[in-house]
Amino acid sequence: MREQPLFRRRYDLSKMVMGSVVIGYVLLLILLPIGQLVHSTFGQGWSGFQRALLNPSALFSMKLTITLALLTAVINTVAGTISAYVLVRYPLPGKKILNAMVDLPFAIPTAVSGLMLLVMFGPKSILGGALQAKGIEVVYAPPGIVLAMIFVTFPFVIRSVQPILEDMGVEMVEAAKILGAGRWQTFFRVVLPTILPGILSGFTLTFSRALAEFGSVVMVAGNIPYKTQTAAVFIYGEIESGNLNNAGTVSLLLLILSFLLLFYQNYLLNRQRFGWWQRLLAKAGMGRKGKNSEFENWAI
Amino acid sequence: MSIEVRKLSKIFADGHRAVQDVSFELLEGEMTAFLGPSGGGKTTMLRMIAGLETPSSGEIYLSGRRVDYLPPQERQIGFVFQNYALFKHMNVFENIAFGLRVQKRNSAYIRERVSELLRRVDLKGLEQRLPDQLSGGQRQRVALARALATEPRLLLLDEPFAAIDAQLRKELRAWVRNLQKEMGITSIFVTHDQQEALEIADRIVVFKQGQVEQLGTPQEVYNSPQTPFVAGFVGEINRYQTGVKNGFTDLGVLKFPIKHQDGRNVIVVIRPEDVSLVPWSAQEDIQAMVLQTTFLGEFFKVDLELADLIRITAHVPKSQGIGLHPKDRVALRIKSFKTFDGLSQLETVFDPTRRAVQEESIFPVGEAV
Ligand SMILES: Nc1ncnc2c1ncn2[C@@H]1O[C@H](COP(=O)(O)OP(=O)(O)OP(=O)(O)O)[C@@H](O)[C@H]1O
Ligand SMILES: [Mg+2]
Repeated sequence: MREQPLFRRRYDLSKMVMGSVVIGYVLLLILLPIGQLVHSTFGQGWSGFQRALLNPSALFSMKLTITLALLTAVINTVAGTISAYVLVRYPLPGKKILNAMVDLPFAIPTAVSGLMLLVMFGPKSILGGALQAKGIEVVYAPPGIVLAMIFVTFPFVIRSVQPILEDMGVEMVEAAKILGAGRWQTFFRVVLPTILPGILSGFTLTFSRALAEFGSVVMVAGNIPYKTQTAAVFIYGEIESGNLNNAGTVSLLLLILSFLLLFYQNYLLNRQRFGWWQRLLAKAGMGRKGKNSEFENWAI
Repeated sequence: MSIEVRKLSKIFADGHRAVQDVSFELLEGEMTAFLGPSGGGKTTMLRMIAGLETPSSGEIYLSGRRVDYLPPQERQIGFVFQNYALFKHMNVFENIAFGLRVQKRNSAYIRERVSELLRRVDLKGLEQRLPDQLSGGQRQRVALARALATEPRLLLLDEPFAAIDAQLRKELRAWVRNLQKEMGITSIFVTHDQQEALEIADRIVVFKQGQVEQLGTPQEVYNSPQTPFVAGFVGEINRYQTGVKNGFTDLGVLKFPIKHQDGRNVIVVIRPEDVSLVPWSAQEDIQAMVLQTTFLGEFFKVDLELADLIRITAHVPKSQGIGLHPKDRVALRIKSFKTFDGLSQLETVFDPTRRAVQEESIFPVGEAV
């Protein structure tokens, strides 16, 4: 009878040690810096925060960042989903190499990515020159920012859709065909709802990564207030000029946004079963005139 | 509807001949089993009929109409996949309704049809469940209901009972059989399991390496196998490769009169249930020693060794098997056997009108020894 509690205590001890290591790690590396950021931002009180928040250039940078990141996420979600579909379903020559190349944007330092875009679209290059002749600004302008964001976030959607597509196999699609569904019906009613969690997750990841992008953006678009100054670049600029309060405030906003996205990604995305999405898709896919009541069974 | 397949072949991109020159005809309203070993081409055959695989050559006719160039959507076929392939994101109701929604039926009709099918497959009340909230047997029935919803003219089932445990499998197959008879729908199911094929099929097509070995009713296939392969696949056999000597098989004590020329190679096939055991006596032709007995529920499997070390397996009734022990000496009588020539074609069916074997009354053998 004496041995068992002893054993249990030892077991508990190891559990406690492991637990505290993990908690300590998280605390030290993640929570403490965040706390410090909050602390310094509110160092000058609530009014300082408010003032910084209403600073027009800070507001502009936030708006610009969110708009461009959303645009990036939309573009990459469409392109990434199609790419994933092609990579999984179509017999392409050199598919293995193509597949390996998808991850390149993750491997290349973002400053290098930015530089590549800069030399490609800069006024001295053929492409950049041609675009400039037509009055289309790319570098040191928002299109350059979007290009940079698209480049560095390219793998996210592909890598979150691809495994689901592979896992799905062809049988559900074959079943749909035998039941009479044409190509589009099969896509909208069977394939899309199945890969939708992957698409949404890829979208969120792309969006949050694009929000945070600094290196490539500053390379391609520089730091022009009210034109190309994204939030991350703004923070950097404010730190440079010693304005810790402004930098902290925008950082905090970005942080909150990231938290919300993380929460959505981890909690809501796993929770909901896309009842309304399915209904929408069913409608889009089938183009039926029926009333909503017909779809009641789509909700789960 | 009736199905006719003419000289159908399938050569895959890697050059593998999965189906070679297969022809057969199946009748309206019948339940046919595609039986054969793994890799025999059964699934490929089924997929070609359904339109999921394009034949390399040959023709397929459904009710006299050629369909092999039609896409699967236009063949009016129901297909139950081996792993069911239910739509994971749809609940039971929507899975079953899928084909009807594609046909743009109105919602009242869909509701009515789906609930009728749910009643038939005994799944009322589970409409709102997702496939991964169902048991294997329930999933299978959803897959069946989904396939039947659009009133297909032909139902194809690929190993429908393979993933289900033995007890439920027996119930389900009887149930599927009844449903099929009730609805009168022409059906084909694939199976590895000869018992299953014998039990519920009207007709069996035995496949081996992409070719049809035999097509017939369960009785024909069991009682008159055309090749040793069919004999061995449908039921158990004792199989001997031997020659012909003076008009008899050259198998020592298993000396049977056959009509072949001397020196030819023949394959002799004897089913275990055609071997009966009688008490040992010096007058009997075939004397044997028991090696091992195995209780198999309804009967005993008895492994025996004959005089010149030839082995044979017999199936004997429980009452007889219970008295047998290793090293017991008994005598055998062979009620029937078949011989095939070297090319595995049936040559002789020997059925000596069941040479009056005195039945088990003389046993138990144990005392007779
Ligand atoms: N897509 C394919 N490409 C190449 N070979 C294939 C393909 N599909 C099947 N085969 C081959 O064709 C042969 C027949 O396959 P099939 O699936 O029809 O057999 P089966 O009788 O259904 O076997 P099982 O009972 O194991 O399901 C096999 O040797 C298989 O390896
Ligand atoms: Mg198969």
